[in-house]
Amino acid sequence: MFRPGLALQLTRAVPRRFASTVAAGENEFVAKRAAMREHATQTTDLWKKISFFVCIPGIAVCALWTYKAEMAHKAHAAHAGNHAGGGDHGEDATDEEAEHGGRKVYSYMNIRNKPFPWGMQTLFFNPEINIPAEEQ
Amino acid sequence: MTNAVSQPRYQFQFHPFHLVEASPWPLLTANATLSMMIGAVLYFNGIAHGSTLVTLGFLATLFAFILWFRDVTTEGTYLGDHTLMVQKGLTMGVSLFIVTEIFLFLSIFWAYFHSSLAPTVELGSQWPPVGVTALNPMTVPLLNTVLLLSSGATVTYAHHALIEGNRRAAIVGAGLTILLAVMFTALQGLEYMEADFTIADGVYGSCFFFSTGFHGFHVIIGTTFIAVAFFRIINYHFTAEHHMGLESSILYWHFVDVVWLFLYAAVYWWGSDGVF
Repeated sequence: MFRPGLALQLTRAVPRRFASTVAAGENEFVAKRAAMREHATQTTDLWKKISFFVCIPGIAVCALWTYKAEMAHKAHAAHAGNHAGGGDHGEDATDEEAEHGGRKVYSYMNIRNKPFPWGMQTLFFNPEINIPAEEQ
Repeated sequence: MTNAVSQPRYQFQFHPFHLVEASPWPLLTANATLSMMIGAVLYFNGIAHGSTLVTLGFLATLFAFILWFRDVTTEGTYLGDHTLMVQKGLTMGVSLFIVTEIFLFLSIFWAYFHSSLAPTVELGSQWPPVGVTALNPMTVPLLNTVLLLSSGATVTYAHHALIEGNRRAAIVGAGLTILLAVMFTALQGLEYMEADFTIADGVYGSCFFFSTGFHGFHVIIGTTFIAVAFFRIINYHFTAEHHMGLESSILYWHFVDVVWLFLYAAVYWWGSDGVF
């Protein structure tokens, strides 16, 4: 099944250190493995400290900052009575552009050439913020 | 005569390569993905039963993947088919796959910059276009950046712990990574619901949801990849020297992480045009 001649040819053509798991010169291979493990032992502790004492507090601080900013944004939106922005551009609108709750809908907005497979509204449609498309 | 030493010479292979056996999974996968693709086209065009076909096609693809990867896991973990040479080839394959992914995202970024660098007169010659309010890059997107960068640290912790032979730390690190990844996806979903604009709002909506949506899709795949590695650590599949599944998932995760950094800089920060 396996011609000895071909096998000999192959083993001679391919340098053994690429073709074998053990013939790399056992010492070099073992030394590399040992160095890797040694490196990992030192760096595991470093990455543990980075994970627990830098990343997690960083996420907590950033989450708090985001929460505060979002709450301030919500309060401001409720006060203004219209969360959807863009109303200040109203004077630029032409006749063919509709208006929705003080917000101009320009010709390139809220485009529907046909319904989505699930209906007229977009997948992440939020009736409190987005302008609804007309049902067909 | 079950002793390996006493077995005939021809029962040993003279090379380090993995000559795969005949398998039904490539054919099943091809059929499943074809069914899913045809089903998706029918569904998108509102043709009857398209949704049924796309669902069945997706489930068939999922089952084909599970059965195929189950075989690969068996070959690599229990049958010893993944020699150092084979591991090298597999790593090269994963790397080349990631290169193709980089070019996929390159085209997505191309579409974005094509539209945003010189916005047309119809959009008011500005980006974001007149009437579109971009998301504030200093709130949830910033938190998401911190989450993804942190997950890169925790996954390195898991990797080095595994090499060190510290099973408990490897499990904790991988578990934390999955947790951060799930938090990222949840926050992205929240942002999608809170956005003023939709995918139907002209080229801004198209580019935003195309780029961040494809990234989100890749985050979900990467999370699944790391979750598989997580359960394989728990099931003692990996050794300190041989854990290609985990290493491939880490490579993929870093790719997803780097794409996010570019997305954050270009789409969220630069793309909001200093409104905030």
